[in-house]
Formats: sequence, structure tokens, C-alpha cells
Amino acid sequence: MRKIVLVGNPNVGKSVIFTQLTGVYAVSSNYPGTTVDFLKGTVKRNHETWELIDAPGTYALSSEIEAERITGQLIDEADIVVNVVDAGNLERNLYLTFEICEKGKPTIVALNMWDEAKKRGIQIDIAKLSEKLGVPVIPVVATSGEGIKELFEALDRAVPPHPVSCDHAHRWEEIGRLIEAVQHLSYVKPRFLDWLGQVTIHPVSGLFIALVVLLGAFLLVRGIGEGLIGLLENLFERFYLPLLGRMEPYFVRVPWLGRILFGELIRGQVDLEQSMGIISTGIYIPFGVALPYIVAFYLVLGLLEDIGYLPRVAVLLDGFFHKLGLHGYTIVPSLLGLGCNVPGIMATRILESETERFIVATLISIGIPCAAQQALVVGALGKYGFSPILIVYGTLFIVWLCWAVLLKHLVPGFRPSLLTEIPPYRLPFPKAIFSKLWLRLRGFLREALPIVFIGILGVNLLHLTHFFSGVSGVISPFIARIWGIPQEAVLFLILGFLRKDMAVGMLLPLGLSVKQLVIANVILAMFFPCVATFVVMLREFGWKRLLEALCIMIASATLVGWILNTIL
Amino acid sequence: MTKVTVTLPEMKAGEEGTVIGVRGQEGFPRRLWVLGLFPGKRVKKIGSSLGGGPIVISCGTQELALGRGLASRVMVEVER
Repeated sequence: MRKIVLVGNPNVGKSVIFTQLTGVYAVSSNYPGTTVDFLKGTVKRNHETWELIDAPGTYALSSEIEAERITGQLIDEADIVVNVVDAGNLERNLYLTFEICEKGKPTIVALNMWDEAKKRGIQIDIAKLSEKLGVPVIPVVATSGEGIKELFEALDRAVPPHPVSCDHAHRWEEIGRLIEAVQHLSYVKPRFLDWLGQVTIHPVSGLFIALVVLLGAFLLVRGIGEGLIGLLENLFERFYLPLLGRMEPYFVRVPWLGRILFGELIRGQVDLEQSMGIISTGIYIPFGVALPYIVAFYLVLGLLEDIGYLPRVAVLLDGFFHKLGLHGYTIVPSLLGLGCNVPGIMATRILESETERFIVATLISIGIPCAAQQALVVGALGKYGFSPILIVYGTLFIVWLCWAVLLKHLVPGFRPSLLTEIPPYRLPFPKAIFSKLWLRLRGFLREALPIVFIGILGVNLLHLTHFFSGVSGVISPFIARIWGIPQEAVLFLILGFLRKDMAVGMLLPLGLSVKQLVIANVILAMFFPCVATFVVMLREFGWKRLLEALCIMIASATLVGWILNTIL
Repeated sequence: MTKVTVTLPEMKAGEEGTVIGVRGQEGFPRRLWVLGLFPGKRVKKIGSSLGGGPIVISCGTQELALGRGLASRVMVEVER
């Protein structure tokens, strides 16, 4: 298949153009042997299907930085290059444009956010820019679709650009001369968005606003999540449960199979939360409990990302994170981890050093409970008022903080300083947000669902062979004494390895006291990653690093459980 | 008015100046270079975040944030 590749700086609306050209359904791919992801889709041109690739956003094409090298390779493999350029920031964007010109591939330039630039008093002589570069330049407003048709038609006119001088040391002078010839700036009164940009990055008002925004985001996630759960619960109870109830009696003659599929009968009936069968609990927990929160979470996060708010939070919090030996951008994987630890850990890829990635991933798996788990913490403790919930979150935060400081000193390695552009605020584009939500959900279902099935299958097999009661019989008297929780509860905490959210659900019928519930919830969050997180940690960092993380988790859970049991 | 050479953290909020150099090994000046922060470029300091946080500057039509460590290696000539 012939290839078109979209290349541009970060935050220039490349993915919006990608979505406009391909539709919502894209495939995320990984460049073999690297941690660099990009999107792939197809477009129809003159009765021929072309592959459209959204290359990683880069500022240049050097061979030392992985993402840049891969973008370079994608350009080498492409038949047509579409260089997406932010009209509001032409000068900086042209650096990459010149590097693309050096490649000599048939190219067109998409001058995006054209309307924005005009409003900011930036005028660009498009005909002259096109003449100087030697390739078609198409003004587009990707979010409204303006110019997309023209861009698509201009693919036919893609030609190799005029050669540029290979002298990189004088490249900015060359770009300066071009800018002089094609761009004219005039003064425009600052607009509301400019004012908002200033206020939200201001050290005092910015922090205050960040607090309000993050709190608002959480309330929104909860609201949407609960709403969706309500809807789904209804569906499960009205349609799915009766179906299971009707199927179950057919398996009376093969009890072991019935046990694996439907799980244990609770008061003579299949129970979606407690039966632990593959098609009862195994379907209900990921779809009925976890998914609604994850949908809500990624929707709100996608919105914050596309507006351009996250870099500001990263900048505001960088001073704080830096004291912990971390980077302001740690906030992004950490926030993602609040949805589900798996994408959170994957997102540590945005951090530059391997050391930092490992530290942040460990911190996420130890101190950041996922949405599904939080939902059950709130469900289990909510009726006792606000303070038990606060104790759970507070403890986890303190543990997170302590380990951040400890790891800063224990794990040597270079920690690069923050360097980021602060993009202006933009109105979000619904189609792009839904496309991203869809990609993330599909990723979650692919990563998490098979593991839940396998996990429940494993639990059922081990349960049938009395393995767990054996193990917990040996260690639980000991653990129960330090943590002050009943021995049966220890069994479920061990099962928490498979799905933490489910383990919380299973603790409920045991009739624990508030204190015991608090301790159980904290331990459950800390002491082991869930199976999905375990697998991702292994894949991203290898056995040695995973074992280090596990030691940290088990040791601190034991200690913290004991401390809580003593002081509460 | 005399010309003084200062680093980015030493600039006052709202002050303008011309970048005259970037100290550091190979990789670091290059990261700034590709972002358009190079000797001869006019910059304006917007402010800095609390707690030793990054320095925010405007440079051409864009805004950049640089962590303290990086920012203190960017030499700027200002008029005072």
C-alpha cells in the first residue's frame, strides 16, 4: 500500500487532521523494537487505498532522539509527506519543515489553525511561502473542517520541495529571512483566551485554578461514571442475570464446568459480584463496574488534554515534583493511572529517562488506586462518612511521597529538567476527543479483559484444588495479627492480585469493622499490582525491575498495614 | 542604561533581552536550538512558578517553560 505520512511539531493539530482525513477509527501501532507509538489509518484516493500515518510529534529529525529518528524513517518510507504547521507559530515550525525539505520527498504543507493566527494579528502570505518552499501550502482549520477538502485534493500536486542549504548552523538565519518575506505581525488587543492563558500559568492564581479544575474533573468523572453504572446495572439485572439463571441448571451434571463458568452460587443463585465465575463475575466486573468509570475518566482527561491545560499543570507542579527528583510531566501518567494503572504505566513513555520511567511506574502501582478500585473504596466506606475515605487516600499519598523521596536517593540516574512549550488554549474538537477515547478504551479492553478471564479461570482452578486455603492457612494467622483483620479476609487480599476492585467487593460480605475496611483497602491498593499492571510492568521494564518494584510494594504494605493497625 | 549579562532566572518578570549563549554539553543547547531559542533571539520573561519551579518566557510567537536547571544555563543580555 502506498503511504502518506503526517509530520509536524507537537500540539499543531496533527491528530485532528488525521481524524478528519480517516474518520474516527484508527489503529495505534508500535514501531518495531521501540517504545514509539503512532496512529495508522486509510484514505481512498482515485479508487486506490492509501495508508495514512500520523507520525510522532517532533521539533526536528535528529538521529539521537528515538521519536525523531523514527519520524525520519517514516518519511523515508513514505510516498507523500504532509507537513502540518501551526500558522500561529510559523517560525519555529519551519525548522522541521526545512529538515523535511532536505529529505526531498513529494511534500505539501498544511497551514493549520489559520483562523487563530489571523485573530492574533499574524498575517501569512501563502502564495509567497508556497513559492519559496516550492510545494503547495494549504491553509486549514482542522477543527472546523475548513480546507480539509482542498488539502486532500492538493495531495495530487505534492512535489519535491526546493533544495535548502544543508548548513544547519545558519538554519535560523535562513528561516528568519523567509519569515521576513512571508509573515507580517500586527498588534491585536489580547483576547479572553490570552488572558486565561496568563492567569492559569500564574504561580498563585494558577495553582488555585489547578486545584479547582482537578477537583471539578474528579466530580465530573464520578458523576458520569455513576450515571453509566446506573444504566448498565439495569441492563445486567434485567437481561443478563435471568439469562445466566436459565443457563445454569444445564450444568448440574458437570459441576466443575458450572463452577468455572458461573462460580459459586450465593443463596442458591448466581450473583454477579460474588460468584466469581468467568461468565458471571468475569463479565460483570470489567463491563459493569470498571468500564463506566474508565469511559468517564478518559473522556474528561481527553478534554483537558485537547484544551491544552495539561502542560500548564505540569509547569505549575514541576517545582514540587522536582524536589522529589521527578519531572512536572509526571502528572500526566499519574492522572492516567487514576483511570487504570495500565495506561498510566504505558504513558511513562513520555518521560525521557529510563530511571524516571521506572520510578514513576512504581509510584503509580503503589500509591495510585485505579478508577474501579476507587469506586469500590467509596462504595465500601462511603456510608461511614468522609473521614475513612480520606484516611485511605491520605495514607496512599503519604506512601507515594515517601517512596518518591526514597527512590530519588536510592536510584541513581540522570533526571532531565523540564523543557516544554505552553500551547495557547484551544477549543476542543469532539470528533478527535471521541476518537482518542475509543482508542484508549479498545486498548483497555484488549489489555485487561483477557487477563481478567484468565485470572478468574486460574482462581477457580486453584480454588477447586484448595490451593488458596492452603496458602492462606499458612500465612494468614501471621498477617492477620499484624494487620488486625480476620483470616478469611487475607484470602481475598491475596486474590486481589487478580483484580483489586473485585477483592474489595468480596470483602464486603465479611462484615469487617470500619478500621478493618480502611486497612484492607490500603493494603489491597499497595501490596501487589493487579495482574494487568504486573504484565505491563514486566513488558516495559523486565524481570529485575519488576522484582524490585514488588519488593518495595510488599514490604511497604506490610509495614503500613501494621502502622495503621497500631495507630487507628 | 548599560548592558548586563544575566541568566534567565535572574531576569525580572516582564524584562526583555537577547539570548547570547547557552552553556552546557552538546545535547542541551540543541534541544533549545530546535525550539527556536538560539543566540541572537529576543526573549521576554513572563514569570516563574513557586517553589523553584520552571521559568516561563515568550520567544517569538510562542511561550516556553524551562526548569530552573536549564534556565540558569541560558545567558541573556539585558539593558538595566
